[in-house]
Amino acid sequence: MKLNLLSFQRFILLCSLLIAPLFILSFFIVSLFPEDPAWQRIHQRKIITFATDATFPPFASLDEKGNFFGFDIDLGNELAKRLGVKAEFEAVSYDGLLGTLIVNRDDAVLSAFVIQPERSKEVSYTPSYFNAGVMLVTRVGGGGVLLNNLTNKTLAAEYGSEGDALIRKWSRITAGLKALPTKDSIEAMQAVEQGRADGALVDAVSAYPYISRGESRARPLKISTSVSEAEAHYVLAVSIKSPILLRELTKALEAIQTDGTMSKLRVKWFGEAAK
Amino acid sequence: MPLSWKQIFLWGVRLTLVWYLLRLPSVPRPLIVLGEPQTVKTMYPKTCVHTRMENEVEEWKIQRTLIMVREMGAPFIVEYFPWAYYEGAEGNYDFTHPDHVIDHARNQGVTVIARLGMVPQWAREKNTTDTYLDEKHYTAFAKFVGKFIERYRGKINYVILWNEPNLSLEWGYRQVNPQAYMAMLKESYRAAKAADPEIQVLAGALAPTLEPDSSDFAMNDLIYLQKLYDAGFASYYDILSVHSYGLSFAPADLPALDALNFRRVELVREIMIKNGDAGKKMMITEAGWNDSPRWTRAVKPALRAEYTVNAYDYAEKNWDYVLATCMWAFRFPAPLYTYGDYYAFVTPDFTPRVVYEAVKKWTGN
Repeated sequence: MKLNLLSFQRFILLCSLLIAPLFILSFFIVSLFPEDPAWQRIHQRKIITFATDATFPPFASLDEKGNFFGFDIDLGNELAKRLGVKAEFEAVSYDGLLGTLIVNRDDAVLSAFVIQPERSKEVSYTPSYFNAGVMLVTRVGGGGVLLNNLTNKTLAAEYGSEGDALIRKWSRITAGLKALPTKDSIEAMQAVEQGRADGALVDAVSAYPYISRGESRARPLKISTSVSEAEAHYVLAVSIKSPILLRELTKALEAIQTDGTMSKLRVKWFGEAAK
Repeated sequence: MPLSWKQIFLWGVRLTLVWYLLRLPSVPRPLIVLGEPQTVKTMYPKTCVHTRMENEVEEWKIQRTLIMVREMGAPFIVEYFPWAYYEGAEGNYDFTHPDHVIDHARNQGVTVIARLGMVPQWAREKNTTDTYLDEKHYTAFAKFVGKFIERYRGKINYVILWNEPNLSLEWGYRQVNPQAYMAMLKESYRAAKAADPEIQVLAGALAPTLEPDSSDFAMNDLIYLQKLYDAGFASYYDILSVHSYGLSFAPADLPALDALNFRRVELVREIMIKNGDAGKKMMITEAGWNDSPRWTRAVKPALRAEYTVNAYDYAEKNWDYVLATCMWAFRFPAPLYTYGDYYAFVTPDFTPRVVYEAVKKWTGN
């Protein structure tokens, strides 16, 4: 009887030794092959659907026939090509973009979208593909201005814009910094050309095309730097339950950036200055 | 061996020192006091703005927001009070945050119009958004409404039940359903009145939209409102809440069935009158213009300031049935980094934008 009990105990021990590693191994296997409903859906349908607020040119707009066009649309098509599928876009208002991922309506958000950290429990983000924030525009060669030395300088910006608010804020702590409010961002950059201002604070999307058009002018302009406290990095968002899609989109984005495709897209939509 | 008095004293000093050192890392909370009760000075008593303090963690920022609202000359605010934040587990309430908001608002002399919504996770299915409320949980929402109103009885006189139910995204990404909203409203209205018979219940709060009948995103607000009336709406609200954005149009532009502009309010009013509800008042609980440099429906910052003041003025002078005109939105706690930021009156760091200064001047401040 005693012998039988020992045998039984050995049997249990042996089983435990065999089962435990298998149990642990199963976790590794599951983590090696994570579930990703969006990725499965994309490959079943051979289509990736992007949620896009099409009221934000030049990133996404609708033409008279209801066709999407813009930088984000071209980028979405290029990403889809790299994933071996076709891109489809759904027009969604900005407030509703992330919700379409949670309810599995769309696969990714591609819509001039900046990371919202408070939604990180629900969605994941790719690295940035475009910084649309405020830029310091100055003249090419001499007479420029540095952000760390604005004493007695004049900065122009569209009245009421983010750049205007920054200049007003900085002027409270910088001796002699003067604000030159203008009707719009074009006029702010013209003020720099004409020597009425040392620099202009303008959003990237306004700055790139204007500077690109003016390279042949007598006093061409350049983007001196982006303003770190007013950067706006655009990313793609996917559901937190889509780790494979996130990885593949990130890889595709990197490839688009390294092989020069991104530069071509930037030049197409924003001019040579955005290269 | 018994300790001498000297040893006892020394040990006492040592223990006190250890206790003091252990307490050092804990930073004391700044003391926020309500201060002297204030009143709003304004030449235009219907001026109102929609604040967004529900995600504002720091109490001093809540207070600062409300001081700036008062200084701008707005006697009313609409503020969002998310159910999900205060009843994270069923029956387990925590009203610390709304207590701060309501106490500071009252102290600044600002009347709060409380917007209630946002479904907690325990009251909805998996893979749904926080705007998803199914019939099984109408009672749970109504219970929360009753609890909220009971707590703030005498402090809050107006509540808005739900937001823009004619948009799919505000209805849990389902097909919108006026009858379902009515069923939810009935239950919540009864709970509100049971908690405080004097409470004024605002309902509707429809998003202005021209979506076609076939759309699965939204239903035209005017059509939705008529369907509500058909389902017995008149008995389940006291004041109609209406949203009226100007987009890129001037505030005095004529209303039309195929246009979205500020005076769409008048089309909504016609539906109220048609349904025998002319005796009831309205509150515009969202309106305004956007001054994003990129958004296609935005205007320049200076024009936005002009339109905003003119809209307040238009409502004061022409719409005696409108009790308050609330512009979207006073301040966000953090940047959204999209065109939504350009609806704000002040930046997250409390820098006034030009629209703030314009309204402040217009109200006589």
